[in-house]
Amino acid sequence: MKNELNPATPTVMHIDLNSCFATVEQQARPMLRGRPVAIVNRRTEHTMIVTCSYEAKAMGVKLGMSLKDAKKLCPDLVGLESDPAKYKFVYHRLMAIMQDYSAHVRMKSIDEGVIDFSDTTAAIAGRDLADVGYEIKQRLWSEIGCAMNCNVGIATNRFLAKTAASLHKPNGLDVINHENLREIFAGLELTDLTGIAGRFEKRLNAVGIFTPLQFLDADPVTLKKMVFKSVVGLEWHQRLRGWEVDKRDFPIRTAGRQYVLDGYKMPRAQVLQRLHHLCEETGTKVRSQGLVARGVSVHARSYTDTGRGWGGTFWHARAMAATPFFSNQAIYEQARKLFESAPVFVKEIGVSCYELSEPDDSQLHLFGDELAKDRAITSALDEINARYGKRVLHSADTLVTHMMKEKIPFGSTRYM
Amino acid sequence: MKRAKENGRTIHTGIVSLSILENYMNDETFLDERVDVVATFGTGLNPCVPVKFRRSSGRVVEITEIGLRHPSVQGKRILHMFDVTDGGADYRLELDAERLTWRLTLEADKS
Repeated sequence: MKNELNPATPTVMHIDLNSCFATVEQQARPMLRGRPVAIVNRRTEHTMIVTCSYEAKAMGVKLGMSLKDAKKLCPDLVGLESDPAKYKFVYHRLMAIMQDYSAHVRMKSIDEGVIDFSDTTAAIAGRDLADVGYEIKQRLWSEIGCAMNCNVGIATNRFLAKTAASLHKPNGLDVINHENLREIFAGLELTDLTGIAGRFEKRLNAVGIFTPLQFLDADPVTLKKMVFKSVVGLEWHQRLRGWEVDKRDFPIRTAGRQYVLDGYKMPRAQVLQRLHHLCEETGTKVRSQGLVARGVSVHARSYTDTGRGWGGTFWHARAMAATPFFSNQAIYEQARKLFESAPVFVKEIGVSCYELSEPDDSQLHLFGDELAKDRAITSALDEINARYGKRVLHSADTLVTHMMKEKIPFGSTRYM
Repeated sequence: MKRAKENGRTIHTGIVSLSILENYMNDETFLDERVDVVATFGTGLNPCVPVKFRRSSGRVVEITEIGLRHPSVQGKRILHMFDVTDGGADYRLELDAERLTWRLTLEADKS
């Protein structure tokens, strides 16, 4: 473990699109530029804001706020329904630009990515990375549009590069190295550090750490034994000093989707149709990664009479199957059985598959013929949908669930 | 004029009309109107550039800026979406790459 700050030349660049979805809408619709814009997933007054423009943020509008409440704060707020196709296009354009500079590009989500120049410094021919950052900003303007801005952060590891990208929003470019690290930390709050919020902040406070500088100077044993209670404490000790501990990929563990129902008194038959729709999308996700599943998990947020009025509770159930499965019907059959014990009044439902793995065809199955038949039918369905469009073929049960449109994939970019 | 409801929004076909769809959403009008388009085809990242279009009412809209052009893939069929403005309102034009037809599918003014 290294106690000194990493003295290396910064080679990790973090690029973050500013208020991505709102900015893309302002790019697409010039009349919206300079106006407060909020993006929502449904065209109802109670829907939550998923992102908003800087003009809206300046008026006090925050993510997660209902559109109705936001309108009270900002009467001129323009509410727009999200348009995933636009955001996917910008995501792919941004990724293509980044890949022009290095093969080591990792998109962290739909609106941010990292270029690691540590193994490809020759590829940029000794150029200052700040110059490369400004060039990428210029290319965003010229190749997508003049309203597109991004924050660029450059440092010796992914964590500090992301911290640098958040220093001067919107449209900033900052470099953190061993010479200015302490000065920059002096101007930040603990919760400005990615990964420190709520629970971890309280734990740090409990051992007398209230600022990033105190966090930086903390004893690694204290971080390991008292704050994070695992090796994570030692990783934070290294991370804050600019040493790379986050260069790793995690295998896909679950795939699924959830949906907020229109009302909590929806008849069970209609709820099951929506659950069926979620199972079809989950099956498509699992198969798109070439995987099979062993387990299905369903959850619901319910509203029940607690004796002191109506209250929300979280219900979930899960089950493992004896053999791997992959078809939409197999997922739905299990989900439906699990859902039999779900509460009566539900507001949100979700389904996910877990214990995902590569299909193992080497082992002979007792029901091999059935599995082969199932696989052939499912492959044919997927092929037709890939050729003629999503959900061209689907269960008759989900004919009435067309309102459950594709949502913006936050987090993982696997399905982009 | 036909109207269809989808996910809380109204789609207008036939004669164009402007209406406030919801109190809380932007004043967008969703259309499905065949239009005549004058466009140039060149080189570069955005080789197709619509210049102006004529609506079914006969009104000609001169495009002053293309905000964004992005594809929308529906199976192997590709629609090219052009979000454009004439300086007074924003419009969306859709070019069906298979049928080579243009449709006006959205109009939104600054109100």
